[in-house]
Amino acid sequence: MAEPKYVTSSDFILREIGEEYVLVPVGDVGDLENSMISFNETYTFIWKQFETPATVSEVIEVARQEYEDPEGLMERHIREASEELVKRSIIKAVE
Amino acid sequence: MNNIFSKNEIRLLELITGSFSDNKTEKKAAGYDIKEVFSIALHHGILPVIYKKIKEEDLSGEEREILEASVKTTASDFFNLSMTARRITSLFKKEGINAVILKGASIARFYPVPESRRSKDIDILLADPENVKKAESVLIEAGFKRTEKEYNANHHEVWGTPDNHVLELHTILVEPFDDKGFNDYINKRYILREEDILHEKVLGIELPMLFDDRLAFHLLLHMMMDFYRHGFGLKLLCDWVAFWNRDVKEDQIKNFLSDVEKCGQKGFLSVVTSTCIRYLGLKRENGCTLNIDNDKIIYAGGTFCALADEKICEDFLYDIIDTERNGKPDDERMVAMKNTGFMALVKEFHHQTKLYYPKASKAIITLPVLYVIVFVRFLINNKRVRGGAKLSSIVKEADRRSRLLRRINETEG
Amino acid sequence: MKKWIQPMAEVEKFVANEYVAACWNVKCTIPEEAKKDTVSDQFNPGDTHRAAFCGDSSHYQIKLDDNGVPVEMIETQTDGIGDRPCTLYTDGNYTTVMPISQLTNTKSLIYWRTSLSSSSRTWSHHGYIDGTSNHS
Repeated sequence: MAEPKYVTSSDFILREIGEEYVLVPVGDVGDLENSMISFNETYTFIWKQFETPATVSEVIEVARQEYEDPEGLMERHIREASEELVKRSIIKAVE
Repeated sequence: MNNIFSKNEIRLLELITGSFSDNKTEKKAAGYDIKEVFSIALHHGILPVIYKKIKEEDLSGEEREILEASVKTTASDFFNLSMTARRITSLFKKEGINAVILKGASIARFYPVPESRRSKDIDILLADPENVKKAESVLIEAGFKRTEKEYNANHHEVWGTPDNHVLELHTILVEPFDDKGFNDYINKRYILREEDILHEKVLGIELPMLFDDRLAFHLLLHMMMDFYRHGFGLKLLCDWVAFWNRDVKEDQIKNFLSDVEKCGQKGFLSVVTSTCIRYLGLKRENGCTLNIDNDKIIYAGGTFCALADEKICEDFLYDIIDTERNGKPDDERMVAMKNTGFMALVKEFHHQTKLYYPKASKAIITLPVLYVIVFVRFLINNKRVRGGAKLSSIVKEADRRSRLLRRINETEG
Repeated sequence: MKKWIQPMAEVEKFVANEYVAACWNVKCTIPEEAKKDTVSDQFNPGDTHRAAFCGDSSHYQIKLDDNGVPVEMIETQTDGIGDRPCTLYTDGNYTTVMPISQLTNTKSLIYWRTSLSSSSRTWSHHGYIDGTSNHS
């Protein structure tokens, strides 16, 4: 079965506020309403990869070209983060 | 730029100009003290607006920390207030009540970074003031609490939102001026039909707001009202620059100018716009709708207003910078009256009485008692709000500002 | 190439305070006592007390709950950088913290400190509670 592609939800926008990136829920988002989510650099990177539809494997591939991974944890981190983003409906499967 | 302004003020004006333009080259005032520049920007509430420019300066660790905190708080407030405003207007809409937001996101959307515009409360105007009782019921049902009535309760009510923000619910656009014809015109013009309301998304948050013509007029009136009362700071001038540094449709400009003419405010428009052109980068090359042609400011459809002379722009801008010099309106500031002298003060006093007691003051027999009450209240407020600044200083300052206002009104529009 | 670090996300709720019925205002009397607009802090001389800021009672609020018990003291209207918490002390040595709930609307001097979040900059204030006002 082909790996699903995901894309960022329009219920959230990413803004650069000062020196950090912040994800702001602006739509109907359940318990994330009335909050702001601060991302570090790598979470921002992951989110930005899903601005156009992409599979998790594709994101991992792009990450390998941009980051050194001495501890070999990058793939696991990306899969876990992507899972969390899907769970929170921050990224959604593309039909 | 001549020497009425300090090097620090000149540098701040350069930073503001640079923040509103894509122009990479900028003049750099020499010999300024960045600490003072930072302090003035902080007191005017515009640090986030000039964030990208000022962070390139030689700031101390503490200043950088304050800068980051300021940007984050301002952005957080922007989103929080905008989403609360959305919730309120949606609740109203469900009950058939049309309303628009004033200021807030409706102006912020024109900024290069919308969430950099500082906002501390929510202003909502009911499209039809007849709906106020119904609107109050909706708010109470939703857990809002009315706070103590302010003296200008015939203009707006102040509510506390469930998350402790302040909502100003307006039934008319601005506090009444001392001019019935003017007030009647404004009130009629701002009873809004469905087609007078623009629904626009600002950073993903859809909100009802005014179209450009009424929006610009409200901005101008708001500046004028604040100028009359205690002056206003650089933030409102930044709003004017943000609004006009883009393409505004000709028909909207024509409607706006018609309102300005009917309300006799061409002089004020001329001074405000000319000041922004001379000092804050309101220019064609920055995307501005307006342009200069000899002694006029023009737009595609004709003349916008006269280009006010440099001296009056200078004095006006000096007054604006002076307003928030210590982070709040100066103790000695008071209303700027339309005329000067004792009779002008009496006339303003009568106007304040009508604002405090709109119903009671209609009965002439009660006026002497009301005057005494208002005067006592003024003395108490003078001690509490102004820290007991001398009455003579306040009156002297009112006179100075009134003379500036008279020069502005005498400026050919 | 950049080094990979674990992705981290922090959710910050917009603060939804309990509606506060009233509060007391407080001002720092250090500038007034010195008869100056700006006075150096006694512990950190590089930091200053300003009459226009900490000497203004609209900048400090002691929030009360519905029973009139103090729940929080904040420095507010801090030029757009948000409210900052204050810590109360029992006396001018600033060594013993006083729980806010023990504070009463006293006519005695109260002592408190404010600081910047991630630096050692601290201001040690003292002053008097300035009556009761509604909180909006």
